[in-house]
Amino acid sequence: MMRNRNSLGSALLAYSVLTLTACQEQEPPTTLPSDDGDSGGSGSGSGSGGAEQSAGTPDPSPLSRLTTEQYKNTVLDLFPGVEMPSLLFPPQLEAEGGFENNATFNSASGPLVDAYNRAAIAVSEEVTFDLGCNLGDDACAHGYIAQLSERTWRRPIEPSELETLIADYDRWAASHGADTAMRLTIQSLLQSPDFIYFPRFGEAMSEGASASVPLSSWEMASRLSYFLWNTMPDDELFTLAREDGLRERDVVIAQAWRMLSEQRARTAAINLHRQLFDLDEQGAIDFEYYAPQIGGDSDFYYLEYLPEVRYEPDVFVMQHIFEGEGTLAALLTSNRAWVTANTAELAYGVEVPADAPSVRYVAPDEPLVDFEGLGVWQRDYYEVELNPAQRAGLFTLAGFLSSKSNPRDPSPVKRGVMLLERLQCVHLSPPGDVPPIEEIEDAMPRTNRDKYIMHSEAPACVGCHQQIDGLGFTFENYDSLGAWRDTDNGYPVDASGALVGTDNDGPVNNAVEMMDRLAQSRTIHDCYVRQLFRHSFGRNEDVVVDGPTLEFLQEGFWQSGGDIPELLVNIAASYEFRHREVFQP
Amino acid sequence: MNRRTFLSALGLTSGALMLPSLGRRASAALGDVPKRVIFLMTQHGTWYPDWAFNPGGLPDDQNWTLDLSGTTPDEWSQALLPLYPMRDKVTIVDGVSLASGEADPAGILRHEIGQVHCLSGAMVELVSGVPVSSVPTIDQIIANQIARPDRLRSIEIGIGEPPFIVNYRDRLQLLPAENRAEAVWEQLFGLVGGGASSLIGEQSAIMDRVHERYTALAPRLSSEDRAKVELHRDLVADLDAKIEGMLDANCTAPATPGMELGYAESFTANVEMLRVAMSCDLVRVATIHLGDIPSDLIGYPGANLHDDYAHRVYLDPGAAQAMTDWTAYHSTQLAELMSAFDAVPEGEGTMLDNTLIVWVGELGDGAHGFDKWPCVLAGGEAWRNGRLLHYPRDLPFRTWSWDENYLPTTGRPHQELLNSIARAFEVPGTDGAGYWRAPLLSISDSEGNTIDCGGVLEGLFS
Repeated sequence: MMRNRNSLGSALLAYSVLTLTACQEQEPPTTLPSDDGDSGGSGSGSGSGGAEQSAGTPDPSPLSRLTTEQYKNTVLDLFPGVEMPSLLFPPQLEAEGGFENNATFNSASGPLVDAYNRAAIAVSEEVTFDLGCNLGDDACAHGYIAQLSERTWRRPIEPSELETLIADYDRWAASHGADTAMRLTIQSLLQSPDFIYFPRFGEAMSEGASASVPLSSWEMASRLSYFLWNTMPDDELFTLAREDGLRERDVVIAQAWRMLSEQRARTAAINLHRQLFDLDEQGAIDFEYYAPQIGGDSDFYYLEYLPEVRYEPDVFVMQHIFEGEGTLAALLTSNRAWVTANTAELAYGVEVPADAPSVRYVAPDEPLVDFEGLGVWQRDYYEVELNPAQRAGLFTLAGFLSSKSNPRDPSPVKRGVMLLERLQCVHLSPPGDVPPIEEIEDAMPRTNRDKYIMHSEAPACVGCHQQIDGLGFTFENYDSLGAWRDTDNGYPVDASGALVGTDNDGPVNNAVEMMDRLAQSRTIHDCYVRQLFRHSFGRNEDVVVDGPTLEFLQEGFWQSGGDIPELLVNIAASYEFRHREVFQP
Repeated sequence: MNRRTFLSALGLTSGALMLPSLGRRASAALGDVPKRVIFLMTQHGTWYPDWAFNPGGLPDDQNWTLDLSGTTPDEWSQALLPLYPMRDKVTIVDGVSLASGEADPAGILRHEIGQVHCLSGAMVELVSGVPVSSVPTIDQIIANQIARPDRLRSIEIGIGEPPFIVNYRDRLQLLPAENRAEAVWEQLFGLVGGGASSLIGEQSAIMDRVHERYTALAPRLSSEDRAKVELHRDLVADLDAKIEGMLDANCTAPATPGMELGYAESFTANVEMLRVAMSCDLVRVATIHLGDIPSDLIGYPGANLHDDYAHRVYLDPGAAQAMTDWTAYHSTQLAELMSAFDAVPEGEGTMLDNTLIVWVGELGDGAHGFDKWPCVLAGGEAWRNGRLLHYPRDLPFRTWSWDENYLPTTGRPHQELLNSIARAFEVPGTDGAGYWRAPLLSISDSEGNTIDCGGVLEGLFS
């Protein structure tokens, strides 16, 4: 609710862009791989990440830093059972695509460094030492430091580094006792760059004159785990790292499939789509206006209904990717949703069948769910088939629809812009000077759509708004709560629109038709790959460096029918993911 | 309530009042360097006809000064009327322009241009398409001058949903506003009084070790990555320097604010925290970045004030009234902030007398104009308050207008305000008097007109 988005707006495009209108930039047409672009069709669990690129380019690999969520997840994995203290990190900056892990804007700030310090102290206070030996024994403590430091820094510890850590511990133990000394050691480990950042040097950089160097197995272990799990490597990955077993592509593929089968992958996928589709934002509805629909109880609305609405898309993403079709088309078009009794009644106008299967979802640590110290929000979501004439996919769920609304009326512009930027990869560049729209005499808007049409008719606006409104107007059947409506202000809703700027352009009558058109578009599939590329590499793409990899991944994704798990594996298996460019320190 | 109890209730103790920094200035004499600065940042400019006032009918095309002490409430504008009771402690500046925004070639939203220009006085830099400042903003320039190394350097507070960042420590060192009151509390008071714990008492040794880790890593990286790590290392050193000071600070922290506060409640809670923190000299530089006012707070429930009113101020009297009400609400917030600081005795005056408050924003008006940029200064006594300074809009410069008819002239470049603030704090630099000035020394329009931006606001210091 009060999350500070501090969105950096839309970033990027080192591409030499194909300018479609004065207001937009879109990716250039892709060139399909000539002879090795198979990569498709293996399907989930096949053990294949698709064909390898014939020629790869290495990743520039700018220095990444733990995101807030990664920090918390990692602490929980480092210290199993720890009671997580309240950790307040500064707002995270986002680049285009909405991703919080983008290296362009991850420079530290005073408040961030202060927060790391407070977090390290707070975590160290909560850790319990169940070591199987007496912490007071030096051998026990020193052994734990050796093991903990390797896991915390995600790499082998140099003897001199271990000596320093142990010397500090011994000094503190002499002054304060073993327990305090170990907590101080944890503070030191958690504030080191080895924990906070992901320096990637690759193997044997001094050898040869190649522009590319494979990542070490340790680096691959971390890269895989933070990509697919959003947390640190598990024991199996660490074991492979110690054995230098993650340099082979086939092993990486096998590990990626293994990782996708675990719960952590679901949480990570939810986190990815939370950022990609900007699901954090809650609708700022005018409660008084909507009170009759909600039942007039603000506590119910804010404490029950809103959280339920917020997390429906999470469950939708999780179930469709990991328990269902696993395709982008399913995310965009399926009317199979997981709802609560409240949302079923208030947003969707259906009843949950008594025998409906359910999914229990524990939401991540969000500001919303911290309300009154709840810490987590746990809720059962029931699987239902929503009216296929009214609902198709993630963007017809109440969570998205209400978050992209104004207090009373839905916002076709917010809805359209989100889809255009995040789903179609159109970079909107509004004109600098936007004059206000003059009143048209006797032309009072009758509906929400009328109002927006009047606002968008100026020559300076019409270029962008043709695309924005063409998408956004198709959602006029949903009010600010995301509930279906046939009339607006007493007049029939006109939800017609048109898809523009894709390979599947054309008119539609409503959002269901629009989502179907989007789901069949290669442009949309290519954009989804670009977005996942940005997330997985922690940076935005560069046409020179990343063009071949992107084209390869995009072709594979399209050929696979938009299979999302396979795309994730293909990214992990790609040459670029496993290599970095050589640099001179 | 006796004096000691009163001070304690404020988070002060007699010890705090004896700190050298607070003892440096027994009373706020006119022209003294203020001890603190607070930037109050708002959105969408104002509706100028109901913001400016000119009870004497003085000529618009000349410089003039109005003594506010002799004015009556009915002579004040609607938008600024809530400040009338504090009229002796404010300086209203009428006739400044964000003209450098007009000259910026970035070609992006004027909101975004203004957000970069307003406190940096510099052109936008597009980093991967994202508009940012490539230079430190004035708050950080002042922090370089007055921040205590053993305390918090600055704090950036958000109320509601601030749209984007206005504070920069340097290029790519963005300082996002923190809009969670409980997180602000942690920044200000999280370490205060914690030195007794052995878990916290070894921080200096830990910081030394952490610093070593960053120093060891940096040389192994590419130049760009190295810069990041070196920045982090330097911030660790800053933390090391201040951590002991914060642990030992003689201050009674206010209660932790509740979570998910509403807009008004959040503002009040943050003002209270800032008052206590500045009383204890925990921090000297702050920005309060105000997001859009919830429409129901100013009598327009259900409205989207930005979309429904701000853009239409020149076309619809109702929209103009809404934006006047908008500004008036912000005036009440400034008055609340001023009153809070004015209630704390300091030397022979009050904290407000030693704290300069600067209220500006990213635009002149809701239609995205840069001209007629509203500016109110309060407290500080760096110059004589209780005045309205009027500057004519007579500088030849092609200026965009809401009706697409470009205007031939504009007001004083806002760099003169930034330069004036820097001079008030005696920030050294390269202007003729040896003080700092904004990096943009002049701007030119497409018709060859040039405005000198290197000076200070004429008459402000007289």
